[in-house]
Amino acid sequence: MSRRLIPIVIVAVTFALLLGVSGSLRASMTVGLVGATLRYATPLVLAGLGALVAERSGVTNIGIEGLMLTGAFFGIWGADITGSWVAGLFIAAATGALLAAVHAFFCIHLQANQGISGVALTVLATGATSLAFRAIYGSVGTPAVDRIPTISLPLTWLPLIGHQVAKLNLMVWVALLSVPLASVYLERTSWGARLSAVGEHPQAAATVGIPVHKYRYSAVIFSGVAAAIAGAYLSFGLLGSFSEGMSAGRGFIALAVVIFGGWRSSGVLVAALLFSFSSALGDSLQTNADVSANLVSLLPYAATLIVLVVANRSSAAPAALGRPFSHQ
Amino acid sequence: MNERRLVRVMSAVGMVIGALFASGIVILATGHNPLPAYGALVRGAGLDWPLQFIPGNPFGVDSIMARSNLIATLVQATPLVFTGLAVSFALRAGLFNIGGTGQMVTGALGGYVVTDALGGPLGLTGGLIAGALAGAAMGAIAGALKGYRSVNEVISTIMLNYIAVFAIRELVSIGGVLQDASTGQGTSARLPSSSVLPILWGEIQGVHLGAVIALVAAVVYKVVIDHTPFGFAVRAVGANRSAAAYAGTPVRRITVAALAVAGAFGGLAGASEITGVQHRLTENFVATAQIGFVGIAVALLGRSTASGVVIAAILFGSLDSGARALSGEFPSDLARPLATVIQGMIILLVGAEAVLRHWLERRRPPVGRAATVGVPT
Repeated sequence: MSRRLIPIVIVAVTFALLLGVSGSLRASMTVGLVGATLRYATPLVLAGLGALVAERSGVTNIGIEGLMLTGAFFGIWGADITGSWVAGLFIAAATGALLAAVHAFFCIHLQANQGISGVALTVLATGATSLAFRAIYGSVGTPAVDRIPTISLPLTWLPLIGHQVAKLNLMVWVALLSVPLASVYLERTSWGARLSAVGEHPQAAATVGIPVHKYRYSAVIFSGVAAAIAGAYLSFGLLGSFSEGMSAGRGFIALAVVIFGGWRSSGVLVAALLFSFSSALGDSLQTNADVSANLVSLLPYAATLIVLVVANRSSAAPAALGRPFSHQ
Repeated sequence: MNERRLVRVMSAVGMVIGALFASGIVILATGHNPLPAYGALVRGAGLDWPLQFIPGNPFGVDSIMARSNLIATLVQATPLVFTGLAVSFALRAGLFNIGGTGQMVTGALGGYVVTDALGGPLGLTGGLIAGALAGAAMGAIAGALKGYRSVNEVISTIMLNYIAVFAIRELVSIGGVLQDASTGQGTSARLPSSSVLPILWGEIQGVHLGAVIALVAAVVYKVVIDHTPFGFAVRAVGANRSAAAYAGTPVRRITVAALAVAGAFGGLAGASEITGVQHRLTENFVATAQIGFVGIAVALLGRSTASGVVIAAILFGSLDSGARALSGEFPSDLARPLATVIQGMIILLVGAEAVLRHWLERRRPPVGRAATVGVPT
């Protein structure tokens, strides 16, 4: 039932958006919409896939937002001190892994409430990245660093979208390629099957000898790495600078994307593209149709909420999601 | 104080010390000495104010400074009591209300509009009620989504936060419906001085009547939770949703009602801030309404009890006003993010506190359970 509703929702939301501005709709508005959608979708897909893997193992990670901020700051800091974007990405990934390991320890070993631990992670990361940013860069801001490169592909011959996809950041392609990889891992390998077993029925998984805690730790740490790389893309891929709180709720949208995507990687991609399209369209409306910045900023959050209400896919959630497991 | 309660208070104190210790490492990492920084924090919050009454003033307290700092702390603590209660009430029903920010800004909007329209003491009363109702409506939306559409309340309240903040900013931004065009800035007109909450202690920006209302709200919270059938149902749902449903509790309706009451507390935070401190609705106030988030730390540290929330609110109010007054020992631009770090540490530790204690106890060789302890998992 809910599965059949999704296309209807997509069409309805898009239609409503377009209808609202049909009066001022111009051909110029659609220019760049595809490229902008892909740029917005990249951090959501990366962080969303991370959150997906963690949730498949049975651990919710509300701290994705904080992990993104961590990657955004420490990535650009790493690129600054080493002079290399590759090293910057590694440093982002390492800090993300470290912070996620804290979440994993609190959730898995201390059996803390996963929501509370995740919120703590976000508050902690918000404070720590602001503190480090002000202590290291002060009022000057981050300097020009070695940025994640933009890839030029011979695609300009494609009609309409050719020029929009010919030059995109490396991470856009990484995000798009991660979707089939995650899909194969989760649906077609024995590791993925065991991960799902851990998330669906940890007792049964443990009985057949699957190391539940090991799988959960790995999955949560992976979500930290993925979210941190998503943040790194924001700071020294897309924008080239860090600002306090720059993830601006994208980590929370990534969690919504997982729910709307029905806990499948292809679903994550579709949902991320939908939200990104509403953001891109909003930007276009602001420039071309003089819609206020506040209302435009509101759009993706409202779309997320509406979609969550209509999709109502909680039945697809891993059965043991949010429940700690102990062997006793 | 019975022993169980003493243990709980002691462990809460232990969590704060633990968080300060962990944050001390962060301070060290920025190249500063944590001890003088914490000392400046305590003085900046005016917590040394009572010490001046020790005969001879042995600590050399500057009574004027301490007084104004303590007033600032209590002013900061007032909205935190409300938002702390907002998170606590939901927690009692097993729900995690992250929507304090959205509930507070809608409460601020409702409070401002009604107070401004009616004017005078009637306007103030109506404004506070309207603020509570506006916040309750926000909470009820999240409750209905949870109860009837199984939408995770954490995600929905966060989305509602952003939606409320941007929508209300739109109202007071330049050209907005509520904007005072003569200012040329993103702000509404000021409330007339007959329509603001009276100051009880201090001068401008002093402790206002909202502080008393906050204490009354805490008492109401305690009475409702501990002594009414509704409070019992809320606790039953919080303890075990399916067991409560089996026992005939209308779980869905209780979910909506619990988040609505939680939202009402959040809404009161906004209405009391507008009529007691801000006296107008500005884009900046709405955009930086992080008080709703601090409420989470307040509720967790206060263990969702009325008295715990009040004490925790004063502690976090101190952190906030103390951070503002920090200078010399610690760069003032770093103080605010440092306060956020300390909050994060406290949330992290308190979230796992019950289990931490259990875990530490398990380390001692328990009689008769040794076989299962230490088995690799």
